[in-house]
Amino acid sequence: MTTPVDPEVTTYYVLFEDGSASVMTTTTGEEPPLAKPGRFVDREEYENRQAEIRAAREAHIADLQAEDERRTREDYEALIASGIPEATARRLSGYTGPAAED
Amino acid sequence: MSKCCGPSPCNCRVTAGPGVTVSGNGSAALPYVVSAGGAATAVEAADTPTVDTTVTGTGAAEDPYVVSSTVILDPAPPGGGDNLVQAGPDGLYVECEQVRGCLVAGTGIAYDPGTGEISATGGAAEPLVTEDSTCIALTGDGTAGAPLTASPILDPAPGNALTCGPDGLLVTPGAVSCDDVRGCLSAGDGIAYDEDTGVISARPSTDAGNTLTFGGDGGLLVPAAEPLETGCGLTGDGTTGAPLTLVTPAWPYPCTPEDNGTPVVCDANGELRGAPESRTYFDQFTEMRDYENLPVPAGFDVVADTFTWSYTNPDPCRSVVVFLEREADVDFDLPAGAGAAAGQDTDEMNYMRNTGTTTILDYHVHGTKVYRHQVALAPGATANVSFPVTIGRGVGGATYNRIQIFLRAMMHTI
Repeated sequence: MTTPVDPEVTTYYVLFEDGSASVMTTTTGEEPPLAKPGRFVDREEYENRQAEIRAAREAHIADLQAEDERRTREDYEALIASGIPEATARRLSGYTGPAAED
Repeated sequence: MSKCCGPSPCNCRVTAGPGVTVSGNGSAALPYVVSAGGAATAVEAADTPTVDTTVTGTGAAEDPYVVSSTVILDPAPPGGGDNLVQAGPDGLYVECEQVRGCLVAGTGIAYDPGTGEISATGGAAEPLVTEDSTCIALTGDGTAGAPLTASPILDPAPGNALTCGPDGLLVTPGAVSCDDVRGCLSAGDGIAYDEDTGVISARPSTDAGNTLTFGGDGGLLVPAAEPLETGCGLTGDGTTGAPLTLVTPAWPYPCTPEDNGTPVVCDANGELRGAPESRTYFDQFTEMRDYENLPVPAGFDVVADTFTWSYTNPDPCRSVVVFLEREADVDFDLPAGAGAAAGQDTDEMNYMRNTGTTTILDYHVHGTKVYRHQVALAPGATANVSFPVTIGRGVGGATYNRIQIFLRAMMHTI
């Protein structure tokens, strides 16, 4: 009778030539095959690349949120100008910023 | 009888034959006159290969035919020899002296060409060749004067009691003692031999466990075996009436053990072993791949990225059937009005359209599929997995920034 044990998990870090970055875990103990050109790196090199991707993403999110703010405020103000109550104008426009000045 | 030679013709009929003429009628006036005449008889000589014939004369009375012959002697006979036949005044002849030279005496024959005497000589026999063997000597040549005789050769070594006497070969009683022959014997396996006394006896092995011994009558004896003691799983005492038998429970299945049972073998330690136990194995692979806000393509089921893995059947004995669970999760950023879909291979599994007024960040849904990846992966064999994650129907500025996948191989021995 064998005693079941949890397989040991090994972590690998990969940087691909297309700019994407991966963290992998496997229980086989074998280095996973790569589906596209790339190389195995250590954790530090991976985290450096991931920090770059995260910074780009944060910038992208900031752009999206700025656009959201601009558009919802525009809608909000248009609704207020058309006589829609302020709470309704906020709900319809999705605007969450400061109230429009009278 | 008619009256003839009278004045009247004769009534007798006279007819001329060949070479004869008859005239007259038998009367006195014209008597019959018979005379030779007419055409002469033709005579010709005819030769044969051995006779030369000659005809002379004209056949007339004064010159009659004379037929004579002479023998023809071949001066060159076809065999090339001499023609011994000769013609003499009294006829053909061959003299004995002429043919004696034709004869020659062969083996066993004496021949005198002067007298023609032939006699048997009895022949001259080949001399008889003899050769002694180690134990037999031969003398004589087989003739009446020296008949063939065989004599035994007696080893002159001291102690040889064999003699050749008037009545034949003899070993003189008492001439060979027991002491003389004891040295000629030796004991093989299972035998004890005392060279001093000449006693030969059985010799049982002294190895442990040997039950062969001597019985009360001096003969060899194997005592009856004690009944065997058996432990768990064995029954019987090893006798014909109760042979040793494995104790096995009844086969409780509707199938036959011949077709469905597993073998039982004896291992290197002498212990019985059954088939390897059935086992279940599990291996897992995860990957989280990050991207820099890539736009979602507008088409359907476009491969965003492919993920690969390999796993190995760890069982040393049995093949495994493998059920593979694969799970994918794509993180979308969906501005107001944007939409995107995600799936596996050609199967789109979820779609989201942002109908609100602000951006949805990191919209993601885990999609899972389970299927049989390997029917029978051999012990130690490796299987490869290729997992294409698809996206599509991107509109309104939809982007993706991460794909997470999970691959879980559940292996069961078969």
